[in-house]
Amino acid sequence: MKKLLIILVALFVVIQFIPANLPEVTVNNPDDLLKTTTVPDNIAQKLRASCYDCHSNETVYPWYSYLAPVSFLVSRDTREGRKKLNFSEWNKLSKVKKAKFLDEINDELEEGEMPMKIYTVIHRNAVLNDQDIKALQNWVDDYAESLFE
Amino acid sequence: MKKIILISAIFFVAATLMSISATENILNNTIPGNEKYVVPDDVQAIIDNKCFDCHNSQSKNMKGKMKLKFDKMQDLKVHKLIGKLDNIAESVTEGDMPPKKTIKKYPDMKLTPREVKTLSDWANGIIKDIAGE
Repeated sequence: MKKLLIILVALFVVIQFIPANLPEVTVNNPDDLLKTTTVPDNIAQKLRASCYDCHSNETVYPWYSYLAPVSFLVSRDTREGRKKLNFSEWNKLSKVKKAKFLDEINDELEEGEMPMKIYTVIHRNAVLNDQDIKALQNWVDDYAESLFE
Repeated sequence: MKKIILISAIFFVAATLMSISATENILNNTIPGNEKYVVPDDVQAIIDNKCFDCHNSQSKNMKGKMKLKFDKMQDLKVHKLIGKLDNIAESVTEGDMPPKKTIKKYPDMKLTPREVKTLSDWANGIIKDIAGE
């Protein structure tokens, strides 16, 4: 028993030396959605709280996200999230691509796939209730429509 | 006698209409307000064979149904239509559709490179006409 504990502790210490390569944080993003587009305050606040940690360059890393093996998970999810959709680069997208992403956001919300459960379990303020979901869906739809007026 | 002929004529027409509606339904062959966007036969055939089973309003595949219903596309507003069309072009080009799981089970469902090009050219062509980009 004691031996197992020692092995586990040793393992924990050793994996700390494996670099997690957490994606870099950049605060100044001139093409950011919230900088380039008029977004209602309540929507902007929801986007920041529920999406921006993975879908922007402004990730807020809590202390435990620097500890392996959590760091490995956070690193992977953040990297994949940004690759799929990065709100910090939003205004570089064409109108058509924006429409595609807005429609996908609507579908992800409908399915309850985003934000990911593993994220909201810890980040309770990122949880979206039915009212938040409706508000976000209405906003993505209005915004997409306004792009082609 | 006249009645019988009339009834059988009606039956004949109804049966014919019903049998063609299965394919005619998709997109109604037009895009809302833009009757010039006829779905060409080659595109229609690909949709029928490789997309429609999951992407229709009666589909048992909830995810597929939620994301795209070919038989309801004519009801979409322009911004939604553009979003869906761009997603079609992107997901077939990147090989994300049909899903890998489906292809593993039914290898024939895989889109050939030619079919990918036909579908994406069609989708991108309409987008270009509507949105100009």
